[in-house]
Amino acid sequence: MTRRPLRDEAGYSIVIVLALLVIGVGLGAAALAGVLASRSHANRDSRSRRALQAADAGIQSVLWTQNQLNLPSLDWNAGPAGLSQRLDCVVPAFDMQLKVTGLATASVNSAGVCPTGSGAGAPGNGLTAGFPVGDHAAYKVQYLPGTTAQGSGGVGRTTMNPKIVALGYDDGGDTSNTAGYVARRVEAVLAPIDPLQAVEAQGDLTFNGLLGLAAVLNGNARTNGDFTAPPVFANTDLAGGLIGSVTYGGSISSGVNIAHKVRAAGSVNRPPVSIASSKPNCSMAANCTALGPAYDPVKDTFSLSSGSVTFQPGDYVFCNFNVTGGTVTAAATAAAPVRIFIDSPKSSRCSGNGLGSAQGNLVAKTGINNLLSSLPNATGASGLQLYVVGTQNSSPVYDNGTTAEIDGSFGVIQSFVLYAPTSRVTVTAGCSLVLCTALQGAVIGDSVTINATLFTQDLNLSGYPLYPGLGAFHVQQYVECPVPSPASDLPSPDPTSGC
Amino acid sequence: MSHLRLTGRAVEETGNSVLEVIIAMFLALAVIAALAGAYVRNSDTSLAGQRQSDLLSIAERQIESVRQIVTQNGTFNAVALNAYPSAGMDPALPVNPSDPNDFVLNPGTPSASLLIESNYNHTTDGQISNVPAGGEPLLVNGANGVSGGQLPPLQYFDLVTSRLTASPPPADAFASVYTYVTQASGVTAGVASSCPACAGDLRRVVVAVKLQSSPGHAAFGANAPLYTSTLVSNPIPSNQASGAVGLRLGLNIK
Repeated sequence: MTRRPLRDEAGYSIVIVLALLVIGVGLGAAALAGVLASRSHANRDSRSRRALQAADAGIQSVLWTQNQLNLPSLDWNAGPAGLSQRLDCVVPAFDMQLKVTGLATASVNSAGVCPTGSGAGAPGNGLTAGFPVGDHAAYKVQYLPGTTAQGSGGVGRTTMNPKIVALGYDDGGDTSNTAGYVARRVEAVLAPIDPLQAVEAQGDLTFNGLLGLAAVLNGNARTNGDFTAPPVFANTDLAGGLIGSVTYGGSISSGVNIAHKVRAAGSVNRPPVSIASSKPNCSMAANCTALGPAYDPVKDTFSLSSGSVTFQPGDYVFCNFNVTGGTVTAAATAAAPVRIFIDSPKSSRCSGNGLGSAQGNLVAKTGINNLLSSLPNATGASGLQLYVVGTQNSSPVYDNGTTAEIDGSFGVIQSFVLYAPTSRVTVTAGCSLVLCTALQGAVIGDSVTINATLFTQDLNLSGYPLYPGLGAFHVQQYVECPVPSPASDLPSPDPTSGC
Repeated sequence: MSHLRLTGRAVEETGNSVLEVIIAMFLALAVIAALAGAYVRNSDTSLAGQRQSDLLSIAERQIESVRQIVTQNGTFNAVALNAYPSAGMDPALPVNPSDPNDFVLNPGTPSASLLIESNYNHTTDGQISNVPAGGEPLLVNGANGVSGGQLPPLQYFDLVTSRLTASPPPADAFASVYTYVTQASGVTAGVASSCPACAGDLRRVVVAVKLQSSPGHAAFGANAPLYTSTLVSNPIPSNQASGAVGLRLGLNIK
C-alpha cells in the first residue's frame, strides 16, 4: 500500500520568517506612528504654553497703560453728582495702538451714564492690532471699562468693573496661515473701581439719628447688606438741592421714601489693610516720645484714660488703641496728615506681646480732635486717617472680628477718614439732649452704625491723592476662556463671549 | 503488510536544510535587530519629547517665579538681573544659536541689550516690530539707576531633584536656565506728559532653557535652547509718589 504523495514543503521556514518580518514591520510602524503623534502633541503643547504667556503679556501691557493715568489728579471722591469738582467716572481714551491719548472725563451726562470708551482703538470700535512678544508669539487685547451707572434720573455715580481680555497666539512662523495658529484666551477681571462714598459697609449699614428720629447724610452711602435709616432721613449735599444716592445689596428700611436708592447688582468689597512688618511704629521716633506714658513701646499699644495727648503729623502703628478718657488731638496740617494704623493681632508686630486676640481694636470714647476740622466743606477730614487691619482671617475675610468705635464729645466736630473694611464700626457724634455736633469725612467698615444727625462727606479727598500704594487697576481673578474661532482674533462684538 | 517507504512524490522535508535554516535565522535576527534599534530610537525620541516638555515647564516655572518676586520682595525693583549675562560663545550671531547669550549685545557694559527675535531659532527673521535695532536695554543692578534686582542671569535646574541651583549639578542631568530682563518697548505707550516715570513700569522677561547632559550620559533632545517670554508690569505705578499724603491702601503699606 502506498500513500498519496504529500505536498512538497520545501522552504516553508522562509514563509514563517517572512510572516515574522511583516509582523515586525507592522509593530515598528505602529510604534513610529505613536512617537510621531507624541512629538506632534508635545510641539502643540509647547506652542500653547507660549500662547498663554503671550496672553499674560497682553494683560500686563494694558494694566501698565491703565495705571499710567494720573490718578492723583482725578477726583475719586464720589460726592453727589453735579458738584463742579466731581467726576463720576473716568475712562482713558485710546488710539488704534492702544496709546492713551487722554482722559475722557465727564460729569454724569443727561443719560446718567459715562462713556465706555473713546478713540479708534477703544473697545467696541474695532479689533485691536496684534503685538508680538517674540519667538513667533503675539497677543491681541481689549480693555473693557465695565461702567455701570448707580443712580437714577441722571444723578448718582458710576462704578467701573473693568476687564481685560487677551488672546495670545503662536503663529508657528507662518502668519498667513491663521488656521495653524495655536491660541489661548484669558480674561482678567479687575478690582471694581468705585469712588469712595461717605459711608460704606461691607455688611449692614445703620443710621441712627438723634433720638432715633432724623439724620442727614451729605453724600452717598453704600452697603452690601441691609440699609436701615431713621424715620426721617435725607441724603443731600452742601450745594443744596442735589441728592446723593443710597446703594444697598439687601433690604432698605426707612420711614421716609429715600430718593435715589439703588439696589446693587453685586457687592463691592474694599481691600483689607495690609501693613508691612517693617513699618516703624512711629515715622519719627520723637513722635512716639511725645505720646508720653500713654504709649507702651513694649506692647505697642496706646491707652489713655485722662490727660491730653497730641499726635504730630506722621504715621503711627499700634497693636491696640484704647482711649476711655482725656483728650486726643491730631495736629494735622494741609500738607501733612496724621495717620494711625491698628495692626492685626496675628501680625508679627503684635502676636508676641501677650495680648492675644484682645487687641487690634480702635476705641476712642472721647473722640479725636482733628485740628483741620474747621475747614469749610469738610475738607480737612483727610488730615486724620485711621486704618484698622482686622483679624486677617482668610475666610471669611469680612468678619467684624475687630472693633472701631469713635464717640465724639459734644461741641467737637469729629472729622476723619476711617478705613476698617473688616471691622465692626460704630461712630457716634457728640450730642446734647437736642443737638449733635457734626460728623465729617468717610467711614468704611464691615457692619457700620452711624449715630449722628449730620454726616458730611469729605469733599476734598482729591487734595490727598488716593491709592498711593497700589495701582487702581489690578487683577482680582483670571479666567481662561475657550479659544475663539478663528484663533487669530478676539470675538466681536463681545470679546468675552464664551468666558 | 509492507512498510511505508518514501517514494517519488511523498513528503520531501528537505526544506529544513541547513542552508534554509541559516537564512531563516539570519532574516529573523535582522528583523529583531531592526526592531530593537527602532524601539531604542523611539524611546530616545519619546524621551526627547518629554525633555522638551520638561524644558518648557522649567521655563514657565521661572516666569512664574519672576511674577512672584514682586510680592515676595515688596518692590518691582526686584524684577531685574543681579549680574550681567556672560558674553555669547559665537563671535557672530548664528542662524540657530546654541548659546542664548549670543543675543546679548555689548555684554558686561551699561549699554548691554538683548535682541528680541521673531524666532530665536532662525535669526534671519530679525527682531519683532517696534523694538530698537540694537535690542532692548538689559536691566542689571548697578547700571542706569537699576538696583534691587534679584534675578540671576544663569541658573541650573537639576532634572533628578527638580531643584534650581546656582552651580551645575555634578552628577545629574540638568538644564541651564537663562533669564533676561529688559526695558520693554514696542508695546502700548502712554502719554508721556502724564507719567514720564512710568516707562520703567513695564519689563520684558525672556527665559531660555537648554538641556545639558551629565557625564557619561549621551545628550539627546534638542540642542537649541527653548525660549519663552512675557511682560511684567509694576503693580504700584511710579506716578503715585510714595510721599503722597492721601488715603493709603495697598499691599504691605510701608
